[in-house]
Amino acid sequence: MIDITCESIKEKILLCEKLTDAEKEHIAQCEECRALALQTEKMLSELSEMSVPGIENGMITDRVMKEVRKTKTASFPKFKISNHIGTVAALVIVVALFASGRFSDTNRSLDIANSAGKADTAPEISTEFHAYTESDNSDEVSDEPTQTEEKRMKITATPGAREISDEEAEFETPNAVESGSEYDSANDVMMFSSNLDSAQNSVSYDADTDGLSQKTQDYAVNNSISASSGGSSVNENTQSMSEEEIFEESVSVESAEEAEIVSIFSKAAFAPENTLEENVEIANAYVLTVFENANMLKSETLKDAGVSNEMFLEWLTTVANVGEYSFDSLYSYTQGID
Amino acid sequence: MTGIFFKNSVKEKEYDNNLPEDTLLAFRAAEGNEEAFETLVRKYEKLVSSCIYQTVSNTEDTLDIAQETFLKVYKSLSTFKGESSFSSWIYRVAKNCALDFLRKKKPASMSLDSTDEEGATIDVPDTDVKSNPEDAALKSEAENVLFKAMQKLSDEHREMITLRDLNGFTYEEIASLLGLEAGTVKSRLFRAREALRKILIKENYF
Repeated sequence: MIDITCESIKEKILLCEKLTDAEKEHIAQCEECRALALQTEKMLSELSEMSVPGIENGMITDRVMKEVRKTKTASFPKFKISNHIGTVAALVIVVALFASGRFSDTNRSLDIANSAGKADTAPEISTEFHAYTESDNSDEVSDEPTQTEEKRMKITATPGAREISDEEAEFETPNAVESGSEYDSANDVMMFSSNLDSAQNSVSYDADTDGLSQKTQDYAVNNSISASSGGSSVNENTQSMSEEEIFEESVSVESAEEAEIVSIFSKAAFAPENTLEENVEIANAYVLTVFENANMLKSETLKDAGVSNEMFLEWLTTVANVGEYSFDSLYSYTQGID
Repeated sequence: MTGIFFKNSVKEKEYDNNLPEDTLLAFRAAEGNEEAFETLVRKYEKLVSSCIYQTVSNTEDTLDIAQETFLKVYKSLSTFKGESSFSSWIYRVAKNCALDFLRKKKPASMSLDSTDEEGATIDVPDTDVKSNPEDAALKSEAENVLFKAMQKLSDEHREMITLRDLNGFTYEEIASLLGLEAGTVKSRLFRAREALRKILIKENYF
């Protein structure tokens, strides 16, 4: 009888279960059970306080978090304004350029429809591009090269449209919206992509992709819009810059270079041997870690627009903040439009 | 534009509040929330380190393997779907890391003393004070005896003591961790404590 009781109590003691008054009384009287209770109490108390020898509380956490932060910093650098003085300087220059009206010309969109009523809107590109012409809209054809040939974009419209050459044409990119109001960047990318798609048939880019190691201002963008309409042709040179303006522009660009723009992607694991798809994926993944609704570029669209892997990688070196990571920004860069 | 981005980046995903706390933390950590991950590491460092130490019996190795375990978990957070408990997941990772370490370190010292889950035989680590002088200097004599006694337990019993007595897991948590019934856990724990007590009596611990 006493053995059965001892055995049942033993289980309760070792499993730390609640004892009845009778069981407690038994323990007080039974030496074996009392010893078991004391031994168990000591053993469990010692075990609960036991930790791995030499490993203090928090030691592993500190080691792990240090490593995590190190890894994170290496692949995804945090953007600290203090670490990007060069970027700040570049932004100041850009703001100054805007303020001085440097971009007033380039921000103007091309409007083929002119005030003289000769609005032979180029098919397929009318919604994307607006030829910017003067009101006199002369039909003279100029054979002489102009200063704006340094930035030319050859846009060949479908047959039936009139031809406009030496016109400083430009995409109406979201960034070029003069009102400066905020807009949905995702929509802009889509809109811009569709613009490019529709322009694909009518636009041929003369930008020298092999020469993209040159700086932005070196890109030759041919902006000659060729359109024909009933045999009439317009050759305007309304946006040509004076030599003084060109000099000022080159000085401004040089200043921006001196400011040493630091790309936010500078530490991202891009590799030249990667394909465009892989690099786009890396860049997109990085942007996603920073902004939930960031612009996501698609390598297919980039390829369609004539953007090569080299162009993409080079452009990434100029991206100073995630807000600049957009299709229009990339396109502007590769076409030398800034 | 940047303002819009920042607003969006601050917004966090909303999860079912009924999810276990650890699962929520793991999801947040997977989204890049460093604080959430740190909370998890802090919470599970004892479990991970004791589990590893019971296998490798060396402080330095335990530290390295524990770090490796957490980094492995960190990298795999996106694969954690919350179908099993986070504790059982991390426990399995820690255990596998420790066993991998032993396999790599002592490929020739396999014995038939004990067998791991996958059937491969592993050596019970030598925890003699002479082989771990650094550890011996750090732990009290009582702890030392206790550790030595624990090494004499079977893997099954040592696991029970580690989870319940060192880490304070409930029967249910251990059951979920090891895929056992709560009743099995209870009876196994009883036998484990009794076995440990008998070893300690022989070692004149009491």
